Amino acid sequence: MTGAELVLKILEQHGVDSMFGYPGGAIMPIYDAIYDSPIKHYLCRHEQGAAFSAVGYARASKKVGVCLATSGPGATNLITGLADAMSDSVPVVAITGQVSTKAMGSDAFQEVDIIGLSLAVTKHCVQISSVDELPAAIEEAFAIALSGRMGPVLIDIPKDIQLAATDLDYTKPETCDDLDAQQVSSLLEQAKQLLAAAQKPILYVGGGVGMANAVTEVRDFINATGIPTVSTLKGLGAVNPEQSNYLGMLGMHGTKAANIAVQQCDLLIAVGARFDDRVTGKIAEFAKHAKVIHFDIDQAEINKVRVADVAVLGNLAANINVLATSLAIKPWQEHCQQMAQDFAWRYDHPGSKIFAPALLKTMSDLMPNSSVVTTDVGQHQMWAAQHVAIHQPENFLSSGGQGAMGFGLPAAIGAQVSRPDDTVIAISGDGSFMMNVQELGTLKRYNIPVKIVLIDNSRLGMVRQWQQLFFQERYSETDLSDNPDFVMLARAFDIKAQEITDKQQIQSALTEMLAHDGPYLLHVRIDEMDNVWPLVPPETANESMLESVKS
Amino acid sequence: MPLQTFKITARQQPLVMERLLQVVRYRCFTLHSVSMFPNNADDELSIELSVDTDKSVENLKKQLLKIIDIKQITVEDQARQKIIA
Repeated sequence: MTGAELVLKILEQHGVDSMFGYPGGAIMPIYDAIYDSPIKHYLCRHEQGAAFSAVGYARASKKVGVCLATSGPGATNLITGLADAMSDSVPVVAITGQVSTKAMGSDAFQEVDIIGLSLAVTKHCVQISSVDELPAAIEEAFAIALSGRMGPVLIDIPKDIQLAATDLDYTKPETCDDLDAQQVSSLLEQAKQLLAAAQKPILYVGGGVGMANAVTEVRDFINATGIPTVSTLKGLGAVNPEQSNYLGMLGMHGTKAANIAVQQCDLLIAVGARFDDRVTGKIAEFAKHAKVIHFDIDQAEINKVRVADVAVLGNLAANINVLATSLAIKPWQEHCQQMAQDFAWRYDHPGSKIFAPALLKTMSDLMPNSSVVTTDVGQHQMWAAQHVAIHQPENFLSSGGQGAMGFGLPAAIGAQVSRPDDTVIAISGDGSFMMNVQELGTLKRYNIPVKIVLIDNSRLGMVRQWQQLFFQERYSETDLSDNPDFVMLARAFDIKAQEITDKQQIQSALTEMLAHDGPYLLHVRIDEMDNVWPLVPPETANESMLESVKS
Repeated sequence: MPLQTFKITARQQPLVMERLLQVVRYRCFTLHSVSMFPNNADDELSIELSVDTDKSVENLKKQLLKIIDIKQITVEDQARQKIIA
């Protein structure tokens, strides 16, 4: 057996059934081993696409995503995807080929210090120096990627080690229960007292709820307490969107009801959330009358941005249940529900042009609740977060912490590979779509039935919106009116496509798209000056929302 | 700015010093001094690292503890030590 064959065997024993990558010189022995491996390899058309597909696979399936690249530029192309996985706590194992050990340090062809480059964007990284290290290193990589606050791990394997013969065999060891016994009972008692004393509590739900497999317990807590609840972008789906006390997303493009309620609350219970600046606005003004209870798995998040009155580290599912009790907060519940009604989304829109929020609301009503929705980054992303009802956190995949344009299509490919029976929809904008447009080739090659809703305003819309609002309408480098013909582009990849421009076409076009059994691109033209509302200007308190500015 | 010293025990791995210094820089602490001594018997490194800072050393300690190869950290407040002395 070679080192490369051993790598494939170890991956197989870790339950890896699919992986995403791109071959090249320094990883050719592993690709030679893939030729005989039962693991399905998906050839992406750029290593960034492979990394994002691994992220999409991991987030939609709750398994480890695996991506591969060769040394040098192949490895550096993974970096943005790893940064996304690091920010959004996604378990990914990236394997890179490296030049042979004898050539290392000589500035050899396609040599780059990928370990040095990946230090800042991985939870852990390791370079293999002997074939004997492979089993323990890969074992450790999977364990680290999945443990505690999850994240990406990179393994760099020199070519000669991939080729080295080894007598080592591999059997996956029994997993050990490495959970620390948390001494949390007194903290939970303090939390219970804070909750009992609160008149206006709010539950602030983040992406950690889904990752901790605590959705059921958090929903039980909401039902037992009737606590008004808000969600972050990554927390969407953790709360049932039809829940009567649910106020929607908070933050820069959050709902008015969610932001005002948080500003008025006297107790903020953060569960798997990290007080991101896009959530808090001006931090000194954020929920400034509230005491804070913070539940998290990562001790480094405690007191990082907002000092907690009580912080509970550890198993969220077990801990949140301890607080579940009915609360006497009827006036507060009624106030929040009244705000939710008063500030509900409106979909009436003058003229015949397509209004993206109404399009996305219609799509949300038509698609199955089990659908996975991915987004790119920009205006369409915020509209999707606002207007698509998400029923489980693993059904909404968006680049939260990094805001990486180009995420949507490859993440959808990874999600569809992991969940072949579910509808997967990538919502993109014309700016983001062009960043990984080459992945249409991956859709075509494997006939992956991802549906793409491309919302096209011929602009870098979110930047243009900020230029309009905060840079005196100086529209520097945001005009994309020379975009290609997207329908023709899709058809060049043998992908069915249609363009719509009038709101009367929405229902039938979405119905046709969802009924199609292969990949599909729906090109939606919207007005170039449409904006996302509400908006909290940067470094401003969340109650200071802009609601509409005439374009 | 007060000087804070971290006494760190780490696994003897080639990357550990790079990771340590990268976290100190990224979290906006100014490195004042650093020393490292191998303890070959235990396959460990003893690292002493001082930073000038007005920021929370407890937060930096928690970030450093996330480095897989770091086993233990204690923090000494040198200004406080001088007062005690």
